[in-house]
Amino acid sequence: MTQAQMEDLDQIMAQRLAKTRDLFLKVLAERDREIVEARRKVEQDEAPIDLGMAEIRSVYHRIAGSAGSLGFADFGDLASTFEATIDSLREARRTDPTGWAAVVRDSEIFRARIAQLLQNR
Amino acid sequence: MMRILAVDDDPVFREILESYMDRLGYPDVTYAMSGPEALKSIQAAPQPFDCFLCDIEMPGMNGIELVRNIRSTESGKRAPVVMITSMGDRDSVDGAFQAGAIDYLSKPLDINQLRGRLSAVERIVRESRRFESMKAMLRDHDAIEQGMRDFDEPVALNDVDGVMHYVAVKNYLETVGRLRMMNHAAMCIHIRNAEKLFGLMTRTAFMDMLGDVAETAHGELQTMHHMFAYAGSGDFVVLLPRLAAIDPGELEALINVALEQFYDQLDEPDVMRPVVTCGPVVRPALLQLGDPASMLEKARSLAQFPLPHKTQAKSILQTARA
Repeated sequence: MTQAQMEDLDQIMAQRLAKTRDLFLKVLAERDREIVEARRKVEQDEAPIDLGMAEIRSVYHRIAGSAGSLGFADFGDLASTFEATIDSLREARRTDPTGWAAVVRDSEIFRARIAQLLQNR
Repeated sequence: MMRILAVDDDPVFREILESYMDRLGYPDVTYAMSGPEALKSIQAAPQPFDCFLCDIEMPGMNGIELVRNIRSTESGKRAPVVMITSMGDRDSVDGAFQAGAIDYLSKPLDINQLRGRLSAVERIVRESRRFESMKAMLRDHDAIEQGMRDFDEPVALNDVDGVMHYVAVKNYLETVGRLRMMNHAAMCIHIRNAEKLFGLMTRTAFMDMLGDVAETAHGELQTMHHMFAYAGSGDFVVLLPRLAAIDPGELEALINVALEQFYDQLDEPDVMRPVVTCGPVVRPALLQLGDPASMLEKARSLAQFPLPHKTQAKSILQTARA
């Protein structure tokens, strides 16, 4: 393969990743709603804390898996950190109101970052 | 060209993967968003897939369950499976390797890491295709069998439950890294007369013999959490928890007794019988963290020599014979 052909392929990939980046930001609003909904269910006693934590963790997990490949490495790292925090809380059986308060605090920070990213779009 | 099935529940990740796969020259990729959808794709595929890329954490059927299901299908029995993991999944990696995965990729995905993994997988696929076509050819031309395949080559014993590819065991050790490697130990079950048998037997018969030893050894180890693979040169490597209570002399005797009983039952008095030696358990020293795979090599080299615990083995053999 010539250098020019490789550059063409790189360019095609970059264009496709730019589109995926748009999809990522679009899905981000949905992920934000998932966090809000998970919190609402726990706060209104519709779901146990453990389930609420699992749902919020799932949001972090998915974001952590793709953000870094789309130019949002810091945001991906933040998601990864918060995911690990929930894992630690669940491992330590801190699925109590104190543990939940920590998850809510993290989720607020995370939601603020989401809002910032969506605003800068 | 490799036919690949990639499974991930996140649409964004699937798009990233698709862009990378196209860039790397792997256009023949089917994407599935869940375990059940992947299994349907396997059943519906006009030609079997050569390789699977599976996310570990998925809702419903997770990646480990999916690998088990893939391994239970005829077309998925042999194809390499590479897991896609994130930091939070690392604890699941052990289960994935035991279920039959041979390697893993980290999220967020790095295109160079993907390129490297796929090249390694392609080599395995090529080797597997070569072996399958050779087997088909040998069935018809038994005489050609002599002198084919190298004695020291690792062989994937896909038809024997619980036996992993040697590459998978080495990749597993690389995955757990030097620190977590401290939690593991290795030993080797060496077929003492392997080289002689290799020279005398047809390749098909040699492979059958390896399968007999693998099934017997795996059966004796079954109560113990372990990973097990054929490394070539008559060596089976066993990866164990560091604190596993295992007596290699006893294990050696039990395997040899079970093999004797197995061959006695066959109505073939002239069949050539393997005899095994179990090497000592090798545990990495705390301050000597080397290449993770070197533990396996050390276990293999130590199994070539007679063990100091032969007396116990002899007594077990004598009791069994009596």
